[in-house]
Formats: sequence, C-alpha cells, structure tokens
Amino acid sequence: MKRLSRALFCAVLLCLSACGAGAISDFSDYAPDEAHRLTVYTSHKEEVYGPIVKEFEERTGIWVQVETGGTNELLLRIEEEADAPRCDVMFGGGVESLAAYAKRFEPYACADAALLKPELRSQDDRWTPFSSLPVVLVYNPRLVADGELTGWADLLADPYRGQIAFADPAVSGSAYTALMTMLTALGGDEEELLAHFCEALGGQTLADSGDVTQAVSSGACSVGVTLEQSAIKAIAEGANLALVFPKEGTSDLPDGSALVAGAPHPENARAFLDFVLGRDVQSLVAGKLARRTVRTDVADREDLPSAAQPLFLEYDIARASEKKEAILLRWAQLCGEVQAG
Amino acid sequence: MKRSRASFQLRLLIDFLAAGAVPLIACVALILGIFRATLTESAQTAAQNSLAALTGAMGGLVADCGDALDRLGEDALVAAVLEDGIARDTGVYSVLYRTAAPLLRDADFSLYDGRGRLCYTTGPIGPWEDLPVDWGLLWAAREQGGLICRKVSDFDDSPRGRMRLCRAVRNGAGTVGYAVAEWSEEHFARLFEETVGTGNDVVVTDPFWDPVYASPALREEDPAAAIRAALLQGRGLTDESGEYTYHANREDASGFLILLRQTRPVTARAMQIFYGIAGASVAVCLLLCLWFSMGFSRRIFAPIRALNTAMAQVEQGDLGVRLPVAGTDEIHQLSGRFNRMTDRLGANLSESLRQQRELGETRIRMMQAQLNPHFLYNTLDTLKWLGKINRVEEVSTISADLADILRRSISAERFVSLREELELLERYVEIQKIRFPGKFEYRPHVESEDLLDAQIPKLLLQPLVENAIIHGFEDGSAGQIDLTAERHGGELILTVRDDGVGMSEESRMRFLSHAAPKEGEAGHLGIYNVDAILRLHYGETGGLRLLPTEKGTCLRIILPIRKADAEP
Repeated sequence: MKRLSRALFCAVLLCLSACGAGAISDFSDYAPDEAHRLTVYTSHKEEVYGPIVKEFEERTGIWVQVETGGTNELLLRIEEEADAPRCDVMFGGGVESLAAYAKRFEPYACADAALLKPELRSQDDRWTPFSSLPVVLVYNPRLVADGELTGWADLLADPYRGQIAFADPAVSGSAYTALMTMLTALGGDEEELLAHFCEALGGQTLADSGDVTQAVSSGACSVGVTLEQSAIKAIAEGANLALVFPKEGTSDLPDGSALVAGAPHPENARAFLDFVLGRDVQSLVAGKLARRTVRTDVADREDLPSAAQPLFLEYDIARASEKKEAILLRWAQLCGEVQAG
Repeated sequence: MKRSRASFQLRLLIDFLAAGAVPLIACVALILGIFRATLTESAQTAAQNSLAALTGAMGGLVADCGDALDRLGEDALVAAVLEDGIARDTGVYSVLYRTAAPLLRDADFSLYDGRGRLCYTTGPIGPWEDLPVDWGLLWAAREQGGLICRKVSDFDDSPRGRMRLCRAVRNGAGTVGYAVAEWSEEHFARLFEETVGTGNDVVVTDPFWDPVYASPALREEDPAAAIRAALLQGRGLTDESGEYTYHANREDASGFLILLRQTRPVTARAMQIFYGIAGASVAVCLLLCLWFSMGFSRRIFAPIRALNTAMAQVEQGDLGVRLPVAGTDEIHQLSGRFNRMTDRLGANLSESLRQQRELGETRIRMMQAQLNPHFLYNTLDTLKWLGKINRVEEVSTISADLADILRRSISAERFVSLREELELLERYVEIQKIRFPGKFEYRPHVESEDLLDAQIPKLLLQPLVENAIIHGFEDGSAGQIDLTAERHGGELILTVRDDGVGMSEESRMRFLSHAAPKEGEAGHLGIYNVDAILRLHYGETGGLRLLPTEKGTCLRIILPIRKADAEP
C-alpha cells in the first residue's frame, strides 16, 4: 500500500512538473534597483505629467512609477500610508489641499528656490508651487456682449440668474477656491454674499470643474467661473469662449508638489522636485501646457492675458481651509433652500 | 466472510492498479513532460536565435546611422551652414544625401539648426517640424554628447517617426546644430521583415519599456507596459492565456530593448486536450483494472467458497457432498482432492460402523452364552460331588472340568496368559476324551517356558481345537491334534494342526471371504468368531490364517508377544 502511494505520488509530481513548465517569463534582470526608483502620486492629467515624467526618466535613468487619481483621494492614501509610505512625491493638487495635509510632507526648498516667485512659495517649504492658476470668468461671446461681464458683482446681477456655470465647491477644489476668491474680492457680509450667489446660480452647480467651459461654450450657460488654464485650453481647442479677469481682483493660487515625509526614495524625490521647478519644465509649463510659470526667469506665453493686467488678491490659505467645512455646510443649506423655493 | 471477501477484492484491486494504472500514469506524465520540454526547449532556442538576429539587425542599423551622423557632424560645410542658419543650401543637401546614401531606405536623415529648426531632410516633404532644444532629444545631444537614441514622444505631434538618433553638430566649442536620423514605422517593419520569424511578434521599447515600435499584431495590446508595471512592482509577468512566451534582449548601442513574443509551441488548449486524453485513458485503465480484479476475484473466490461450504457440510456430518470438477487448474484439483477425501472418509466410516455392529453381535452372542452361568456352575459342582459320592469318576471329572471351563469363560478379563489358555484347553480336551475315547490325541508343545506368560485373547485356542475335534474327525477316524507355540522375533506364533478330513471347499471359501456363517448354520462358527476377535484386536492383518497342508487342517495365529502388565 505504501509503495503504491509512493508511486502515485511520483506520478503526480511528474504530471505537475510537466504542467508547470515555462508559464512565467522572467524579466527581473531588467528591473531597476532601489536607487533608480521613484513613486509619484499625481492628480495631473497625463498630458501634463506624461512628458515631464518621461523626460525625467531619460535624463536621470530613474524609473518613475506613476499613480494617478483625484487630489483628495491621493492625499487620503498618503495619510493612510503614513506608517509605511509608498509614495515619494505628491505631484499636483491645489496648494490649499496640500497645506491641509502639511503634516505628511517634509519641507524641501528646491535647488532654484530663489528663482521662484516669492508670493507663490509656501512659508515652510512643505510644498512647492508648480504652476499658477488664476481664477477667471468666462462667457459665451454669442450670448454675452464684449465688456458686459467685467467682474464678480456682474455675476450676481439678474441677467445671469440661473445662467452661471459653476462647479460644486464640495467636489471641486478649484470651485471652492473660486468661491473664496469671490468672497474676498467682493468683501462685506459673507453670509449674505453666499446666499446671493446661491440664488444667482439658481441652486444649480456642475458636477465637475471640467464641465464649466463645455457648459458655457455649448450655450447651456452664458457665463462661468473657471481656471485660466482650463479656459485657454478650451479656447485653443476651438471652444466658443472668452475670458475676463474680474475687475475686483482674483486669486492665482498655484497647484504644487510635495515631498512625502519618510519617502522611500527621498534623494530621487528631491531630484524630481528640482526637475519640475527647473527651467526646462517650467518653460514647458509656460509654453506647451499654457499655464503660468512659478519662476521669475521664465516668461509666460505672450498670448496669455498680461500678468500686469489682472489684480491678484492675497488669498489666505489658512483661513480658507479653516472655514472650509463651515462654508460648505452653509452652502449646501442655501442651495437646498433655493432649489426648494 | 463478507469482510474477508471485500479485503481480498480490495487487495486484488490495489495490486491491479499498481500493476496497471501507476506505470500508465507515470508513462503518460513522462511522455507529456518530455514532449512539452522538448518543444519548449526548441522553441526557446528558436526564439533566442530570432532575438539575436533582431538585435543584430537593429544594432547594425544603429551603428550605421551613428556613423552617418558622425560624418555629418564632423562635416565643416554642414557646421558652417547650420551656424549661419541658412536653409536649403544645395551643397549641404548633396553632403546629406551622399552621407546617407546607403541608408536612405532605412532611415530619414535631417539637420536642425541651433534653435531646433528643421533645415534639411531626406524625408518626405511635409509640415516642417521643429524640435525643442531644451527638452528631449536635442537637449540630451547637446548636454550629454555622443549618439543619443530617443523614442519620439507620444505627446509629440510628429505623425511618422518612432525613434530618433541624434548627435550635436559642433563648431568649435558651441553647438550649432543637430544631425538627426529618424526611424518611422515603415523603417522598423523593413528592418525586422526578414528576421522576426513566423509566429513571432516584436516590440521595440526604450530602456524604460516604453514601446517605440510594435509589429501589427501587438499594436493593440501593450505587453511592454505590462512588463514595465511588473518590473516596477517587482513581480513576474504572467501570460494568462498561456498562448505566448516572451523573450527580451537589450540592443547595447541604443540601450533599447527588443521584446519578442513567440506563439507557444503547445498552447494551453492543446495541453488541455492532451491532459483530457491522458485522463480518459487513465480512467479507462482504472475501470478495466476494477472490472478485471472483480472478475478475477469472483472466478477464484466462487470455487473456494463452494469448497468452504462443502467443508462446513462435511463438518456437520454430511459426507455425501461432492464438488463439480470442471477444470484442471489448482482450484479444481483441490475440489477433486476434496471429493476423494470425502469418499475415503465415507468408506472408513461405513467400515467402522460395520465393525461396531459385528462387535455388538459377538458380544450379544457371548452374553447369551453366559446366560445364568452361576446356576450352571453350581449345578456342575453339585454334579461333581454326586459323581464322587456315587463313585462315577467320569461324571465327577467332566463336571469339575466343565465347571472350571465355565468359570474361566465367564470371568470379565478379555486377555489371559497362554498358560491359563492351555490349562483351559487341557480341561476341554479331558472332557472331549471322555466323550470320544481314543478318537484323538492332543499334543501341546510350547517352545519355551517364558512364552507361557504371553497374553492372548481369552478362549482363543479352544474353538480351534473344538473345530479340529468336531469337524476334523467327524467321519469317525482317529487322529492327532498338535498345538505349538513358537516365538518368531517379537511375535508369538500359535499353530493348531490336525490330520483329519480338512475343511470343505465351501467352508474354506467362506472363511477366506470373512463372511459370517448363515443363521442356523452351526459349522465353523468358532473359527469365524476367533477370526473376528483377532481382527478386532489386531487389525485386518491380524486374523486367523489357514495354512495349506496335505491332510487335515492347519490354522495359525500370529500375535505380538505381550506380557500381563502391558494392556493393548
């Protein structure tokens, strides 16, 4: 009996060895070593991070593992992984959001820190700016005459009631920034302004900040609030759109990058931050990506509205993030009331 | 019984399996394994060869393009013209075409000035694309020097190129322009056309596994991306469909990688079929084993069970049972032996029954003969005294002898010494002499004194002597009766011989056949009884023998010499 079972066992082994042959191709020889690895979490679109990451790889020989997602989603992941971080660099996301997770980041002043626009830099270097993103007003020139829309106050006027494309600030970070910018620019009683704006919107918001230019261009809405870069990109793609810097002033809160505290590859992460703030990438930002650079020695594209023209207000990041919950709660109530009424 | 049968069958089944299925499974597995290993190995060799050829082809073209670019970069006219930013100079064009001449079908050659503007190209006339000098290819050519190979970026607008090779054109210390060779999809296709091999597909990637070129079959899927992801996550690449194997090699001059996808020689589907067939044949073998073992055990077991039942019957006393003998194998031989054994057993039993019955009859007769012997004895004693008182000496003697004979014959002992038997015989002869005066002479002769102590069955000799007196001399003639006791080895030989008329032929035949005398027929009953007693005590061979003699009768008894203390 024993012999029989032993023979059966051998036969089964043979079968298994016959089945198992060569199912896996081994390429581990081509894998990069730890010194040549970097993990980047990015909320940028591929057209933004793609060429930058590729160029970084080619210049340094460091392999970059990119993981994409929404800003808040990625920041939450970094928070969850705080004990054993996987991510080296958070690339993208409004600096407001980055500031909210400042604990998870390590201060780093990049190589060219001195050449950055001082007003865009963080106090403690826990994040570095990547591109400046002014909040602008857009309108459909077929529906709105040139010069008719000049500033925030016009938005609240009767003609545009229910015609304003505005993303839900609870979902879109840039919409919240725009809301806070408007409150700052107009001044006065915040509660009253909020209620006023809600009424102007008719309680309706768009689900995604990317929908704003589409809604205005298509004529579904006649005016909208969005980021300059989105507007310019849409215009370049042939959208039926014009943009205005509000006369009361606007904000140019940048998006940024940050070095994750306890990053597995800190050296490579610093090299990446140096690279994205370097002249070459910032030239790409200002050129092909149609954004505003954060460097003083790189010129913005000539077809952008001149930097001298708009009035940039100081945006209090700390206060904005502090009040965020209260304002969003009130906003939801007001919108609910307007919709009900 | 059921359990033993089950275990017997199970053991048989296991043995059959061991003998049938295990070698089959092992063989099938081995054959499949060898078959697969051989095919896989030869496919692997083919893939390696193909891969080496692809790498060689690409390396050769990279080297050729590098040489051409070097010559362009070192050309003084080219450098001078690019520095001045002059486009469409015919002299430069002739240098460009002359240098690129052997490779014109393999790549497009272009010259860019220091600001990245395309000034000269052997490629098709189209939108003239400038290249950024602070980014990508031209940046690397200027900053890193030497021959730079780059994938044409996916974010680039160039519709044709897949890969570019570049080197800076320097005039003195400064970079004044760039010589670029561009490989389009068609160029790659041409390059690999002959070396890729049938059933194979190829992907060329940059050092980061970013695909540069893929043969048509692989354009949709992106194995390189999967490999890159696997490498970044530190795990192996698994091909779930099992239809392909992947092989990679690095082309050293460019640092680019060539990934070869080979159709697996034996697909997973084919292996499934093989395994199916193997499984089915093993299953058939198992079923056959089961069937044969059950049939075999039944064939062996049925006769054994019949034998077993028959033995149980015999055990309970039924000797009439017989087994059918249908074959010549061991089992049927056993059945035959069993039959013979029961035959013999039956014969023995009936023989011993017969002996028992005979013994019983003899006893009954003897008991009848002992009917109220004490009364007879007392009467004879009275007769003896009456004879003495009345002075009739013969009556007295006969009565005393008869009483003595009677006394001895009713004693319970079965064996007496030869001496006592002879004394009894003396008494008997004395009576018979009175009855038949002068008719015979009795002459006992004992060879030696010690024979007198030998034990013999009681009343053994008297019937023989009586037989001689009554039958031997029935015609009235006189004769002699000789009784001799001799020793022969360990045996006592007793012989009674008379010279009378001898036995009739009928009596002789009956005696020889050991048949009992018929009812009511008195003749020779004594001889028959002696013979029966001898046979009962000493077995079939110990009977009374009738010796041939010229005159009269000679009877002989041969028995082992036994003393009084040794009971048989």
